Amino acid sequence: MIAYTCKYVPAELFAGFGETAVKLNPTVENFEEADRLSHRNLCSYARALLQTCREQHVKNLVLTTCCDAMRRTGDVLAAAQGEDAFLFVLDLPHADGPCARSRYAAELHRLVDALAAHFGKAFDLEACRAAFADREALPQEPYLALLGARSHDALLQMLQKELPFPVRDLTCVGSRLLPQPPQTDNLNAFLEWYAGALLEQIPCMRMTETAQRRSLTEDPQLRGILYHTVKFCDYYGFEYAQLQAHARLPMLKLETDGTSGAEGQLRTRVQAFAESLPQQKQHRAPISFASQGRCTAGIDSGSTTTNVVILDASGKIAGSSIVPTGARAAVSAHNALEQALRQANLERGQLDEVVATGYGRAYLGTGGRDVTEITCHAKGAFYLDSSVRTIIDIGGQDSKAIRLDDTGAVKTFVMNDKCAAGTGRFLEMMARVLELSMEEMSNCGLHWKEEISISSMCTVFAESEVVSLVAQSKSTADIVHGLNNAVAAKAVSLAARVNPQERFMMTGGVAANRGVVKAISEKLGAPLRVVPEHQLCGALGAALLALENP
Amino acid sequence: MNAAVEKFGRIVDRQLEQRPKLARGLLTTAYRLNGWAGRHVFKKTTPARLELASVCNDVIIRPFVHPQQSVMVSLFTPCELLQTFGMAPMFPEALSAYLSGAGAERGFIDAVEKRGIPETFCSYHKILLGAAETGVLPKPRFIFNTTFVCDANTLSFRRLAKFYGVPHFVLDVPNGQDEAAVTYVAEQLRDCGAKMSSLLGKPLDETALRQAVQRSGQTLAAYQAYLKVRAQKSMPDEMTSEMYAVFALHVLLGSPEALRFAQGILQGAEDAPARGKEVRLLWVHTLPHLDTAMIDLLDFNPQCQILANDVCFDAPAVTDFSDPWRAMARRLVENNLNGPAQRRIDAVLTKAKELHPDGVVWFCHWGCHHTGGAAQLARAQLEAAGFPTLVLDGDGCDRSNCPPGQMTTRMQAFLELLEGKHDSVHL
Repeated sequence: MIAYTCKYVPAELFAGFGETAVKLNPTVENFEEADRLSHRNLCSYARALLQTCREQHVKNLVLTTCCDAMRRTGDVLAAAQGEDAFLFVLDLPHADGPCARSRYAAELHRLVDALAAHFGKAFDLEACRAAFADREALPQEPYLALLGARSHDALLQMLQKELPFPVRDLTCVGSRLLPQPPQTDNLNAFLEWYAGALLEQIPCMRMTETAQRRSLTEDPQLRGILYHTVKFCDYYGFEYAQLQAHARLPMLKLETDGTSGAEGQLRTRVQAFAESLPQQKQHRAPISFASQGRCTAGIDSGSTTTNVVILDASGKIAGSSIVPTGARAAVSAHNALEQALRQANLERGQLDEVVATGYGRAYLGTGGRDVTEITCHAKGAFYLDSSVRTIIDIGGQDSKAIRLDDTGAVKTFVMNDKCAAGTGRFLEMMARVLELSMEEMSNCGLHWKEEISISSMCTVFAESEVVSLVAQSKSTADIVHGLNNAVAAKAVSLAARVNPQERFMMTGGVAANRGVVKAISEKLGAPLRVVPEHQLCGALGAALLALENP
Repeated sequence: MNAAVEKFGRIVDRQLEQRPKLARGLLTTAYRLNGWAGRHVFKKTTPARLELASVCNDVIIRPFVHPQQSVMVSLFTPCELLQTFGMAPMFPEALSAYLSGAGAERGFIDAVEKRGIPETFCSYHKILLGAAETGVLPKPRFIFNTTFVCDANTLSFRRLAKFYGVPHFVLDVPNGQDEAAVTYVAEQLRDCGAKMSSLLGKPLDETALRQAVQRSGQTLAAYQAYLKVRAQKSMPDEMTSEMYAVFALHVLLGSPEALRFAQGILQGAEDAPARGKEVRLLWVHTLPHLDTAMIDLLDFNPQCQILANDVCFDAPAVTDFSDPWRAMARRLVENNLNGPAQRRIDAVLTKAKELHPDGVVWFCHWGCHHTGGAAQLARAQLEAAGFPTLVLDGDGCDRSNCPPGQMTTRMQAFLELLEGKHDSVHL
């Protein structure tokens, strides 16, 4: 068995030595060993690879010099692996001209010689040629493409499960397609052809010439793009930025960090994307409250609060509640629902439908459907103001920007990463450092005098920055204003990625912070509407969905 | 950061979206003043370094004022070719260092992150992209970069060539150090030379090119000679001097100014007093020269001196100039930073044995996988050879990646340990 990680590796060649080729797409529990040997700012795929090779004692591995991280991974493994291990790093050209092909053919020859020496076997060209699979025919049915950097296997499985179309793995290592080899017994001629065939594949982003990648997004059967990036892998962030500016298809960005954590957040994004796909929209029925004659509830189980909205038969809010989410989301949901029912003067049995949303949505046991908070916030915001086209939602642990079309459907959305930067939790922690209540913090930042920049958005480092500003006797109002500006910059940067258009609405708990709202509005250069129900928007959307689609 | 600089940076920031030309004007004026002050007011460092600082200042201003005579390049691009055509280079490391020196890096970084560029990307390149895409940095005549060492080169310059709609020349530099690799690069260089000649409507003067390449060799040889003398001398200086030297020994290589600089500091070292009891450091990679606390620790400190930066002794002093194309290609292919990390580590070890530093600082600039990825490998080998090594995380030009206090605390602790002459340091 010989492991490899890059589509430019001649994986079929291994069969010429009687070895099978195994593509490594690992996820790991932690990066303990990888960080001991290298650096935590290395791309997380490279760290996961390092960790896996060390944990599982991967003996035979062929890498390419495809990126800085992979070059360093090769160096570190070369020093760490034992003498019986086979580690080979192919020098991959950036170009695809005749000179580059000759250079790569020479590299392949070097690999053949090294494998022959390691395994003590002669190379069997016929066995190698037999290992070439038939080129896969292009699908004739609608599909979704997973583009970008290498995805791990668990992600691909989750996508296949959650999405309404088949998902084709067209990531840098997934899109490996080679033609059948020529009939030749001449090893040099074969390797010249092989090098050409490898370099001729749809180029990965590290190649000098990448125009051919356009073919990945121009297939008429393509219905949407899932764009995968890996933390600290910069190649595909650039292509995503380019596609985002000119996307004609629904597109969702997914970033993973080589670990199996944050699955819930990823699933939320994927489900929201599925809800926004055109095929899904066809099934939407327009809301016609007068004909329904029913009562429904929406429960938004967030990280900080659990919110409930009950709609009466005419589609008006009959009751609502906001309670802190405790240790058990289901108990909080039950309490919040009871509270809202009391306000609406209704019994649980009088509710025809309950839809759950938010992080805890799948675990509430309400017996109803669950829908992502992206769809629900869009629904709720559009219901409250049908002129809204861009929503900025900052909650306890995440922030989102959602773009709506003229009918109120989600056109595109982005979410922050796992980090708490720019969220309600960030502000809460800073308020604690400044010994302010959230209410005091909301007002305090409006009365600033000196402009202060908070450069660090990492919660931990921002805390030391705030402590240092306090030590310098800077006024609390000025520090809070600096914090508000930092959160606003993050929110506006997020919004910029959805091609924002007026009118803007802010939802979520942080919308209660007047200083933040003012700072965001100033940075947007446009008014930002905050409705009294800003915190209930997700629950309202869920209740509306319950009403709309029994 | 100095309050006036901070205020200036904020003023520039405010102009980026609506009035980029005004921001350009403000920056150009500030750099002109800085150039004047460097020549007439500051004058703290040696004459050779002062003259180089002035040259670098002019290099920064020129693309803003005469963009059509400027070429955007990567740090390792052989620029002798441009000199023969009378074109001036501009490159991310200098531009970004200057913009952060003016307190103005944040706005440029925010501008590109808003456009979807990953925040984990190298901040030198983010600032370059921001300066271009906000309209502050005008369109150059063309772009000429290598794929050498850093992935960011492939990404930034390709994006900018498309953004500006200008011709783009790329030198693919292999990882290996064989003669075939030299030929591969030399042929690409020849091809680039012919295309540039056609684009600019100027014949390529091979004699002038050979002279420039020869000057490059003399410059590198003079710098190596300087380091030999430096090992025995005490020369407190400012951190920024090391960055200027990086510019002279790469992008400005081949110019008479770079040669004058190398010969000048050699002379300066010969005239300097003998080494004293100061703590002497060998630095690897770029320097966080914008961090005030770090400047306080290292600038003109007679008790603590940086002997050299490995990016200043990375290129081999090629002596055969009969074929200037091959000479330039060889300088790239055989550079210490090319190929496996072990080559770079070996070069640092060799230089450490020559310079006898008390410690080595392996600086991991944010987003640089090349340097960060090899950090622990290097530390183990350097410490085994008797050189205490600090792996220091930070950023050469973006303050927000230099956590307040943390970077300096580690540096200060390292210096305290070195002053105590401990045998081994693990931070």
